[in-house]
This record gives sequence, C-alpha cells and structure tokens, in this order.
Amino acid sequence: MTPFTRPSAVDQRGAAALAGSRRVLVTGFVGAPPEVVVAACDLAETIGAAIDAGDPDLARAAGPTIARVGEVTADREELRDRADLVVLWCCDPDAVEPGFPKRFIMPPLPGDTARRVFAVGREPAGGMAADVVHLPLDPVHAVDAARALECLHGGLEPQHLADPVAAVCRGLHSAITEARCVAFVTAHDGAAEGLEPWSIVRLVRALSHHRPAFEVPLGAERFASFRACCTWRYGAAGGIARADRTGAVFLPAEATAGRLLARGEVDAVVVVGTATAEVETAIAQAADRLAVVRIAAGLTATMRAEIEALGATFQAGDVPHGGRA
Amino acid sequence: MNPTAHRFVLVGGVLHDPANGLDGVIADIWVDDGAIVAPPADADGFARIDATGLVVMPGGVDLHSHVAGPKVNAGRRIAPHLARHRRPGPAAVPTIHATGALYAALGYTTVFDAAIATAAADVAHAELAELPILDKGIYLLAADERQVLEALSVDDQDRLDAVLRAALVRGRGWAVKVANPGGPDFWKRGRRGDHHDLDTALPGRPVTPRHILDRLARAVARLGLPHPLHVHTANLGLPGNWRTLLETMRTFDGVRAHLAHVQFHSYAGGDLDEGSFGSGVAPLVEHFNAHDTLTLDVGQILFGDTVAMTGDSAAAEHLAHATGTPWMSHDLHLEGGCGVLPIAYREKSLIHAWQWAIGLEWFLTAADPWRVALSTDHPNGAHFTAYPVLMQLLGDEAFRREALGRIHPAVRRRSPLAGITRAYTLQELCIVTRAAPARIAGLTRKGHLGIGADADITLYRPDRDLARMFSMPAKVYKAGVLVAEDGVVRATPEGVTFSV
Repeated sequence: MTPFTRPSAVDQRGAAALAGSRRVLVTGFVGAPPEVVVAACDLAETIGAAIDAGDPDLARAAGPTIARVGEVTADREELRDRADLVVLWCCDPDAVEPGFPKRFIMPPLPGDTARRVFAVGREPAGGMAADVVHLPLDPVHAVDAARALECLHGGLEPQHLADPVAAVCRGLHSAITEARCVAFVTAHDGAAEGLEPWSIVRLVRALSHHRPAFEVPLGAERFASFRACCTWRYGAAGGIARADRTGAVFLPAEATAGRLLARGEVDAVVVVGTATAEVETAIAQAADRLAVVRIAAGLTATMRAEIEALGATFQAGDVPHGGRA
Repeated sequence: MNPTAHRFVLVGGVLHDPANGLDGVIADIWVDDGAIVAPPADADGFARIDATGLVVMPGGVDLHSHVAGPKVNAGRRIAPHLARHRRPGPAAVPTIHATGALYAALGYTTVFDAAIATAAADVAHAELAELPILDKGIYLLAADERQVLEALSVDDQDRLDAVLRAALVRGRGWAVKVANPGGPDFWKRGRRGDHHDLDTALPGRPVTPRHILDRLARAVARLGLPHPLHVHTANLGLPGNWRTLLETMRTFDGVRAHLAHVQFHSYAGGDLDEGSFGSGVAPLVEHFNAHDTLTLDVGQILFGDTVAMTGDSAAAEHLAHATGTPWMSHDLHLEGGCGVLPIAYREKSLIHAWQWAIGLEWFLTAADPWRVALSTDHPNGAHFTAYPVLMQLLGDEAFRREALGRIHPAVRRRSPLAGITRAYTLQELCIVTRAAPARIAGLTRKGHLGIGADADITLYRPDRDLARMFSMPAKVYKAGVLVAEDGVVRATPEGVTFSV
C-alpha cells in the first residue's frame, strides 16, 4: 500500500490561525461523507467550536423534519412505489436533481395502477414523459392555491380566487379525490421557513387524514451525512453553538453559519470541503476579520487525515475558546 | 479514553448468578484482564474491593432496543419538546453518547439495536462506533430485501441461505429480524394500515407472510446463528391481533424463534374494533408456556411521553392516524423503512391502560423467566431509564396494586392483572434482565458471573424500593473497568460490536 502523504501546511497554518482566534465556526460539508463529518465534529469538540452547514433546513427546531413532520412525509422510493398521483409543486425536479423524474416518477407503479403526474408552475417540468399535465400557475400564487386546495378538500368553497388559481385548484382537486396515494414534490430553494412551505405542509397533512399523502422535498440530500452525524452526536442537525457530545448547545435561530458570520460572532472558520454559496458569500463579506482554514474536498481519507492533523495540534487546555491558547 | 482493566477481587458481595445456580450467595469474584477468573493461587496484584452487603449481578443485557440508525435520528428530531433541556430527565431519544452513559449508569453493559435495514447498516455502525462503554450489535431487517423475497418466491432454500448470509456479512449483523412479514408489499399498494392475515399472498408473489416466517426461521437455524429469527409479526397494535401472534407462534412448529414486543401483539377485540379492546394474553401464554423453542421480549409500556419508532411503517401510519399525530415515514431503497412519531401514554386512556396491563400480564403469567427478556422496546413503550420502575412493578405486588388503582377503571375491572399475586424475586429479575437475554441472544460470555465470563458486573445497594435500588447502582464494571459509580460515569471505554 502506498503511504498516504498529506499537505502538512494545512494543519500548521490552520492551527496557528485557530490558536489565535476566540471563537471558531466549522462549516462546509456539502456532500461530505460520514467519516469526514465525524472527524470535523471531533475537531469542533476539541476547540469548542460552533458547527453548522449553513442550510436553513438543518438548523430549525426539528432539523429537516419540521416542515416535513407537520404532515406525513416519505422518501423518494416510497413515491416511486406507492403514489398514483404526483404533483410537482412549482418546481422542476430534473433541474434540482437531474435524473430524479427518471428514477422515481417515470417508473410504472407495481401492479396495473397507472400514475398521473401534474406539473404546477410557470413552466412544464423537464425530464418528464409527454403525458404530464401542466397546470400553469405563477409561483407568487402558490400559497393561495395550496390554501384553496385545502379548503376544497375540507368541503369549503374558496373565495376571491384569480382565474388561473381557480383552474389549477379545480383540476388538482379532482385528481386528488380520485387518487389512492398522493405525493407532492417540492423544492423550497432553501426557504424552509415561510408561508410557501407551510402552506404545503398544511395541505398535505389535511389530505393525509383521508388517504396516504406525503411531501418529498428535494435538495436536502447533499447534507445527508452531516445531518445524520450531527444528530446522533448533538441531538440536532445543525445550529450547534458549541460542539460537545456530552451537552452541546443547540441554538436554531442563533448559531447558524450565516448568522454567526453576519454578526461577527466568530473570528475563524474551518470550511470542510464545499460550502454553500450563501456561506461563501458570508465568508467573503467578513473576510477582513476572519481567519479561514480550508480542508479541500477530495478523497475521504485525505480530508479526514487533514482534519485529524489539525485537531491533534490542540491539547486539553489549549483550546482557542476564550482566547486561552 | 480506554483505561486499563485492573486485576481485582470483589469481596463479600451477595451474588445473583442464575446461570450458575447462585441465588443470594455470599462469594468473591476475581477479575483479571477484563474477564472473571478462578481464584488465583497467588492473590498478589489483585486489588481488594469491598462489596459487603451489596447485591452483585451480571451487567444488564438489553435484547431489544432502538439506539442507532436513521429511525433513531428521526426520533431525535421529531420531538424537540422531549429534548433534554426541555424537561427533567434524559431526552426521549438521547444522543448516542448519552445513550451509552445512561445505560451504563443503570448497570447495563450490552445492547442490541433490533431493526437496522441492511442498506442503513454502514451508517448505523458508524453511529454505534460512538456508543461508549457498551458492547453492541444489530439485527438486520434482511427479511425485507428483494432478493430474499425472490428466493422465497421460488422456494429456493439454498439461495435464501446464501442471500441471508451475504446480508449478514455485508451489514455486520448479529441476527435476522423480520418486521411485519410482507407488510411493506401490502402497504405500498395503498392499503391503509397492515390489516392482513398470515395466509394472504403478497401482491404479485406466490408468498404468504406465514411462508416468510417459516422459511426464514428455518434458514436462520440452518445458518447456525446464535440468535433465532427475531420476529415482529403482522398487525402490530391492532385490536384482535392476538390471533395473528398465535398463528405466528404456531407457524414455527418446533423451530426456534424469538417474538419481539409481544405486548403490542396481544390485543383482543373485534376486527379493528377499538371499543372491544382488551387482553388476548391468556391463550397466547398457554401456547408459549407449552413450547420451549419460543422466547420473547415484552415491550412493556410505561406512562409518560416518548417517541414511537418502528421498522413497520404501516403500523406507524396506523398509529399516526389513530392518534392524529404528525409522523415521519422513511423508506430505504425499497428494502426497509421506518415510521416515527411522538406518543404520550396516559394512565386514564383506556387503550394505554390496557397496553400497560397486558404487558404486565405477560410478565406475570409466562411460566419460565428464562424465555422472557425485559424490555420496553425503547423508546416505543418507554425510555430504557424507566426499567427500574418496571422491575418494581414486577417485584413488588403492593406497588403494582397501587399503580393498578390509578389506571382507567374499565381496565382495573376487566384485566386479569388484579387477580395475579405473583411477584418476581431478585433472582427472577436478574434472569429477565441479564441471564435470559444473554442466553436468548446467544452471548456465552454475558449474563453470568462464571469463570470466563466478561467482567461486566453491577453492584446494587439492597433496597425495598426496587425502583430506587435498580436505578442507581453503587458500581458498574464493564470488562473489568469501573465505568459508573452512584450514577456518575467514571470511564468511557469502547465496547465491541458483535457480528456473526
């Protein structure tokens, strides 16, 4: 076996940067494998750092589930195997996750049940078969449409709807009534909070009391490992103000990467692999007051070794927290 | 931290070691290099630790718990109101580090996660690698794999054996688990809940749930696995499901099988009629007592808030709709899944009171404690830190009567529990928490204090209040290392992971 050689400059310069700091944020993690995340968590615990990947879906009170848990939620294979009605809700799944329609929507259902697919939005969804029904809707009306559908489902007649919204609702309501299992595919573009996600949550939840129904939000899988490792260590998927496996501090509204950077509450950042565009922007905006240590995306073993080497330079009592180093 | 195990001798403790026939016998235990050894000819170098007056038992073995994997992570997130900082006591679903520390402080030194899909085994092992102190293992939900169902469809035993063997190697499992045999196939066809009997063929396959149970149990026996097929049968939680469990037991006909969380499968009542809900334990216990190839864990519920999580998504969906509680379903590559939702068990709820009474009825009417493992199906029935309360309910009849007096009056009147006077002895409590689960799991070095056993030892201060006694061991040794003392964790050595 060829001995592994790591670039020693990372841990030496990085350690110096961290040692001179008062509070560190460990971030990045897009697509990082579990081994890398575990090593990064170890580093964060060693230096008492905050840890967050900067994705709003991770740092809410119930991590990625709160919008999803408000209702019945399922993963994509369940959509493939079970949903005889798929609603693409103001999103183009092939654009968010190329190949998603081919893998999870277009395969036939088991048995002889046919699947119907409706694409609600400004444009028809890409990557789909020709028989997808496009229901034109400007996304600014998405909340109105979701609420109107909820009304129709509850036997109420929605009032004051614009014609395009009413048309969408009539078409979808009819399809939902005939369906055995309904899947809404959404992509909230990082906006996990707000009226639009919650309007779908409420709608799906209402439907699910009468027939299997769930939402499949796209885009969260890039942080799957980070979400899992952080949750088993700290009980939350992000927004960890201080990494400590015996009692981490979880501050969902405070300790997100973006907010810590924007408020100047950290003076050093360790970027593990790739960070989101939002985090990179926040780092750039705070560049004059930040020490930045980057662990380049690469082989798992390489990344892990670099992180471990960085952590090994700190001993007990030598942590930068509070400027004691 | 992995401190060196010491050589020492525990002197003068009152030993409860059912596997070796010791019931309250005062004796010394010699420990060297993490194992229990014979008294040495030369005692030099062995530290003397005074255990006079203390009750000495093997470390606890939890045969059926949920401590790792995607479902547990979902459980940690789904109920933020049950997090550690929001209420007294531990989080409903503790972090992996807290799980190890809490188990150890309770005197438990071995735990099995009872439901890990093969596809999720790698990440579950990564998580379990961070479980401190305890030895651990996983049961693989291999029975849901498509290859298994295909082998069953053509009734090819050799192929079935090969598929299971490969899954166990790939997933580093200790046992094979089946959760709701065939249930996912019914459920994914859009049927609400999992209301099916054992003899209805799966959609599109010439295979019935009974066929799955029978063939898998035989395959596990042929493979010589230490633990028999671990069975979570169909219709979990549904009124009238005692018939399904009875048919499940009959299916095995002399082949070893372990019946998981039987409490959730022992309900009388009409077909899906919650109004006639009640206990179906009596005929089940009668069959169980007469068939010594069967073992079980109870899955006792205790009152309070917890999180339900199961590899049986259909059952979770049913529960979610029955309670109106938001839930999460998680599907793993079509070969496994789980459902997760918060649940609050209340004394005055008719259904919950029945569940509580039914679990205790199982414990108190099953004749042979060696075939019974104490469990709450953590966290489904209750948090594992509530085990001492359950032990007091079993070992203290007056305490149990007092508790019975608080539950829903209809259950007080109708449950056979009121007429049961049996109380577990310390020896029997030791059996159902240590000796029996170790033996059922096939762990030859656990659950006893004989020579060659792992030096997993728990010392308790005797107390009439059994809940107090069992909740705060004086000392807990894991492989000869003092890991907890009076509820304080003293060391966090790494445990081993069992795999076949």
